[in-house]
Amino acid sequence: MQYYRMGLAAPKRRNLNPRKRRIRRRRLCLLLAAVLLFSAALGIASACAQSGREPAPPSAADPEQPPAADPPSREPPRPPEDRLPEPDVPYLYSEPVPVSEAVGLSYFDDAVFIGDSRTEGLLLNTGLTNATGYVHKGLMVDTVFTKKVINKNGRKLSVIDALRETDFAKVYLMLGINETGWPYSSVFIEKYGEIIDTVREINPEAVIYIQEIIPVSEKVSSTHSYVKNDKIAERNGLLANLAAEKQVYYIDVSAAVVSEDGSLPEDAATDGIHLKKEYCQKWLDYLKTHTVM
Amino acid sequence: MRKLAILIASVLCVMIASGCAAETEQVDIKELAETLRETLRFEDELTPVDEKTAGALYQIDDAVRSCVYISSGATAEEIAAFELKDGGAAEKALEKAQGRIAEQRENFALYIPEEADRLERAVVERFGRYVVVCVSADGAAGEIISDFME
Repeated sequence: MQYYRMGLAAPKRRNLNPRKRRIRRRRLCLLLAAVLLFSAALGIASACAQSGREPAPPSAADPEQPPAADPPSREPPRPPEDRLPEPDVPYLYSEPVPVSEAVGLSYFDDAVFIGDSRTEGLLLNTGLTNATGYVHKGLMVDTVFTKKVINKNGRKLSVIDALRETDFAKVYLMLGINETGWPYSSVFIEKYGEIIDTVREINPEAVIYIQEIIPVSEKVSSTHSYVKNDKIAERNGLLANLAAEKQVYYIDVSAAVVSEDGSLPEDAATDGIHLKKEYCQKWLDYLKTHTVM
Repeated sequence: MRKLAILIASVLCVMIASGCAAETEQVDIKELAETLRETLRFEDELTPVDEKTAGALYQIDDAVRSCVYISSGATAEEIAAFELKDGGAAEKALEKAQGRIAEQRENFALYIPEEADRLERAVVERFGRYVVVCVSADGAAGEIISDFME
């Protein structure tokens, strides 16, 4: 290009001496290597500074000891939701259901209560109309299958037959006060087990609660011909074993209503057996704070 | 003849009017139930239930108002008062109430026989569009109810 004709100064030409070109190239390579080494060193130093951990707090056993300095971990701590789950701890079905956060009354929307006159009193005195009650005065573990005492859609059905026509997710059982007159506890437990097996057959997914038999007053226990608190205690022990065998839940509802000597207080029931409204409410409150799901 | 017809028509009108008045006259069933509970002798603790429970217990789901007191289950003692919309509804409610007492009698006969005797003396009556039930050991229930409903 003829720069002189355009009145512009011609561009300066670079020195094409091969020796000088080699020197220049070598210097560039050395400079590049230095830059890369410096960057790498900077990155490593930065990573080491971020991964250093806080020292552990002093242990409760020995608060005077200085906190231990843990070595820096290679990975940052994971957020709680990413932590590995606790190993499964098997549920002890022989133990009573532990205390839990109180549920509302709607928890019982899909619950069926099966029981005798005491359970009838629970449902009527607490206004638990959202639950289904298959209850009857004098109901026992054998008449649950045989006695047609449940009014359902204009028909009279046994408790089990009525249950077959019911949508439910939970069953609360309390039977046994009327069977304290039975001579053989084994027969009582065997029949109780049949009820659980049948409920499972009707709805394998149902949560089944065995409520222990609530004791009676000391006056009733000492004067009644067969309703005795020591018999009730024996039967409750067998029910806890049954819960373990069948893997259903056992609720020690007596804890809600009995006095220190383990009997029903005299003011809890007019006849020492059927709970008054105040004690029915205590019973319900206990159920609300002892659920499994 | 015309005077006789006018006289008969007048008498009929008075009878119809008084019948309607009897059906529409307002009765405080809560006050009635309270009076029974406080005046009569009961052996068990009687506690009130809400109207939904009362309706389910007696299978009376069309009551305008209801007031029911139940026992703990130790006895068959009970007080129930229902206000229905008219005499026809009250008649059906009366049948339901009678059915409830009959069932209670059957249940208690095997469970606590002495309560079955008490149920034999239960007061179950209809007054216009009101139905009243009272199961107590006290024989004065019928008189108190009649005096209150007049």
